[in-house]
Amino acid sequence: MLKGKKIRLNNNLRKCRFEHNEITQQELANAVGVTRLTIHSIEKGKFNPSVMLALKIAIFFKKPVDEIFYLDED
Amino acid sequence: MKRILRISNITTLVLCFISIAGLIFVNIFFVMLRAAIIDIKDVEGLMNSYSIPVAVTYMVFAFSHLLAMFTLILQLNFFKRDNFLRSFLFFTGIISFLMLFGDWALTSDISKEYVFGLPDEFIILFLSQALHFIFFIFMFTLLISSRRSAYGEGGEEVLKDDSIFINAQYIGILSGVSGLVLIIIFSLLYSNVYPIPSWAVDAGVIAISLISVVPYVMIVLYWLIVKIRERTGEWYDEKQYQDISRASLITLVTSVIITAGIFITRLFIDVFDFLNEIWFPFYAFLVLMLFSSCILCFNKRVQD
Repeated sequence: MLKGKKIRLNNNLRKCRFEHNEITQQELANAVGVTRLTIHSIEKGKFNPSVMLALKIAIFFKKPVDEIFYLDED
Repeated sequence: MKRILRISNITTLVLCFISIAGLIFVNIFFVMLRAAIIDIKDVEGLMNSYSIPVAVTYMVFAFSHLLAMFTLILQLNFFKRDNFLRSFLFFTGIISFLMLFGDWALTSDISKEYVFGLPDEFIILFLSQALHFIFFIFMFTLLISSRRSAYGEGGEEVLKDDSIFINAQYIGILSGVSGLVLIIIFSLLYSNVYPIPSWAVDAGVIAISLISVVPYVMIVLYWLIVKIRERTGEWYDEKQYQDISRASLITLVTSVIITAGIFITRLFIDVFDFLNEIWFPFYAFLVLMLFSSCILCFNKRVQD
């Protein structure tokens, strides 16, 4: 299904943060144990998080992972 | 923490101001001494009358440097954001502190050699004075500019910060570039302009390399002290791991290409002969500069 297609990992992290009492990047970073810059680069689509980090973020927002992270055609 | 930072900021600010005045006094003395040597006046009398005030001023300089380093470390911990000026001051502060001992050795040489004419040590002495001036003036500027922030910032809790990580890269670049520039200039000078015995070449290369690398070693040691309480797996976060991996690969490839280029060029023309004695520090500083620049580049690319 995905063969031959250029795909990239996209996310709704920014939207989730605003829905979650408008928490800051720093607060989310503190909650999942990374630096603010890592959260910032995930939001900008310049860094793909590990499965572990994606799961930690999903648990923090109490949402399934695929509601936050999804594959998109480039 | 905030209170200690405020006290340390104010004390360093006052000491910086006193040190700048002290530097002006010491430099007036050095200029008078130089003029007395050129005009063959009573050099010994001049040295005797000023030796104690100059020694006391140098003690104030040493104390100012140590306190400034302490304040810079406190600021690194407090502000949690990288700042090039802070890294630059950490770098110049350590070198300037080491050069205080260099000044002492140089003036001691001058006091013995002036009978044979104007000693060359004056050139290095005035360069060292310029470094002290740069350090104190920029430190003064940083303290004035961060005075208001020290009262306001620090509200948001930061559990994992990358300020020391990024500042270490700034210092790595400064150490790498200054090490490369200084050993190349030194090597070109002794091989083309001012021949010196081989033991002096080795001593010069070792001294320059150590002076350039000490600030980087200090920031890495400080980073290790901060991180030693954490599990090794948590020393970096995953974005930092990725940046380090990419930077390592690029450093490996680039350093091999550069050294291979030099090696091949040397087979045909003798343009790189000055590298004979300094090949190891040259390679070490090149790698340090490339590695730190690459990490910083990957880090800043995301921030823009």
